[in-house]
Amino acid sequence: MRRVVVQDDLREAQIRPDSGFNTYIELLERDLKDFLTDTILVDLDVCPACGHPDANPDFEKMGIRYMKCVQCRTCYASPRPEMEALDQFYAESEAIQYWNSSVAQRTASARKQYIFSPRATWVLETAGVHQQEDGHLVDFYTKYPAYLEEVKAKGSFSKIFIRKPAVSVADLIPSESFEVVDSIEDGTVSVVSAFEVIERLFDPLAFLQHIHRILRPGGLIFLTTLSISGFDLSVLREKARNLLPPTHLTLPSYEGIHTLIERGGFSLVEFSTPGQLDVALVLDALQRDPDVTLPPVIDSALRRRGESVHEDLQDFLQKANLSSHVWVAAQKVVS
Amino acid sequence: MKYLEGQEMKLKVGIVGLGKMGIIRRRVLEDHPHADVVAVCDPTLENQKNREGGVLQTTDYQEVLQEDLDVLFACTPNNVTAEVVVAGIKKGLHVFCEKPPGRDLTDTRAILEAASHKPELKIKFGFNHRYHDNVIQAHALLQSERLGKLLWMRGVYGKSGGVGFEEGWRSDRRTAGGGILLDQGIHMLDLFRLFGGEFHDVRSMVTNSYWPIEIEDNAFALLRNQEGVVAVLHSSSTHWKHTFLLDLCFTEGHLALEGILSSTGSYGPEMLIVSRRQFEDETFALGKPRQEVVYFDTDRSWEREIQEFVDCIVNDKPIEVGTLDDAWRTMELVYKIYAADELWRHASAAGEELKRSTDRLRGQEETP
Repeated sequence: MRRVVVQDDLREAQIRPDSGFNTYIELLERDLKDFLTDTILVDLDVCPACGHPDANPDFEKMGIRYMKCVQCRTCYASPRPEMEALDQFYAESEAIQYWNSSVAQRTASARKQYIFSPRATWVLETAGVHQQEDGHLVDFYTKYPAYLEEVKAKGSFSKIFIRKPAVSVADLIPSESFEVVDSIEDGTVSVVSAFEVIERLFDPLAFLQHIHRILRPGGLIFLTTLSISGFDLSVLREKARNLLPPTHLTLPSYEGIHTLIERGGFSLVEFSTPGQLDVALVLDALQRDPDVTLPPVIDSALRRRGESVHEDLQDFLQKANLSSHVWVAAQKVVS
Repeated sequence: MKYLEGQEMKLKVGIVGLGKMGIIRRRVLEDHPHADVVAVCDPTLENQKNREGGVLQTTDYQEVLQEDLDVLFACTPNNVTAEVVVAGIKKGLHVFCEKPPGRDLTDTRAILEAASHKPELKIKFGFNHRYHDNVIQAHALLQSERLGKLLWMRGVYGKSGGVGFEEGWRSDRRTAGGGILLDQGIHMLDLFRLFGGEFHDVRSMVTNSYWPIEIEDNAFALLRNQEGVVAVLHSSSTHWKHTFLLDLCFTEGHLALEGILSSTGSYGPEMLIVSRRQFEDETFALGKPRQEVVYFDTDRSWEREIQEFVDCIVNDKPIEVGTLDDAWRTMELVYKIYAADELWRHASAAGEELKRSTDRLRGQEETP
């Protein structure tokens, strides 16, 4: 199985500038308060990652309660809104509109360089190794066109589809290069990409099972998500500024992701945590919030040592799969 | 595969040589659903029972050949490789032969000659490194042309010898034929050929600078193919830190294969490091481009290699990796490197086999 470590010079401000991010959080808190007033929430009977029934309350954020699975230690919102209500929220949220029209536009160049181009390269090269580069690719919940444009320019997929675009495709994807479809025939797709998707779904397992059906034998799924096993989230939990409901309803653990992938009918081809910002996010939280406490050796490494130690620590987190930013590639298993 | 369709087909396998490689091959074959190890041969089996669990155990490989076999694995010291492989071929068996294909080109030629009379048999040589994940993925990247055209390669493959190194059969010229280049460097040459095709222009310096042996403990080679791709090799048994490193530089990027998974883990974790040229913006990149380090945690090379061999036999497919042609051309490259160093070629320690092979090379450039 592959595991990738990335060495680059990404800074949080390049993709989440402070002013824009603060405004987004304020708007989101307001939107969510209204949303929760009018929405029926559903308790989960089992962990959405491993299916275990037992969990304990972990923390609350923006009025949403997060449970911690006793088996796989996945953190998940329960009760939580159902998918129809979530779709409506994303369609109407002022915060989401602000993000897409303002922050995403201002940071488009950096996002392309540090996020979308690497994703396109990842998908193309992995699909090439597994001889899946010649069929159809479907991207779920497309938010930004840059990734798909690069896949189209450099790849050899016969068709590229968009399924359930997360925002108005007409606004963000002006070209007619990509066909938006309402349904996909079973067994017809060679590659599915779903970036930052499973954490926002009501039922991630049902989503994976759907992907399993539409993929042809040997087909690949590419996922990115946030993991509670990662350094910044495991240390900061509800204090993590980038942990924001309802976009983060399920924060799967390392073990939870493995189990979820297997339950969905896939075998892992790659599990990587090529995050570059864990240490920076914890450092930032230390400066903002005096209540954030760390084990002494980590506190010392972050507060009293220089940038090279921070880089070494981030490098170690990636190597040990302990960054919160997860990349997963998995292959459809045919029983 | 054909035999998976409800058939109970099992290939009956004999293994000659139960050293490190023979033990690995036996383990993989015993786990394979369509292979049965029915006979093994090794000098260490002298005091063992004749049959253990239905498996013939013997010290005489001729007794293995008397068994009802489909396939023979030759995992022997180099001095008996050709003899065992040729005997297997003459017996009508498919043969898997560990690298190197004999001590010298005379041995390899004998194998090719025997195989030419039995074209229906599958003959495969154990150039195992092609089945490692970092090699497979690097090759896929090369073929995709996303990194552009290959410019040069630099390979370092080294081990430290160790206590008693000079006493082992690998250090004995009459048994091994050659030193570290023939034993370990041959893998790197095989990879050079995988990525860069055939190399015709060969320069070298070959030494035995540390170990008191009649064969080389270091080989430095500079190779060039007809497209102008240059490859640099350092093969060493005085590399006190075990090292596997293969750099591939392309017009648009760079690949580094570092480490190779082995049973001891002494060559480090297996990595493929991918970086892309960024000098469109030199002031920004400063020669430190974004780099992706891909780690591979599991060595499935042995299973893949044997699976492919079994598949070729059962489904009558041609061998594609480790062919007779690969064996000859890679062995030829080894001996071109020996021959390119005049000092080494004429050194008395180099021995008659080397002289015979290199003399033959001068008049015989093509595959027999």
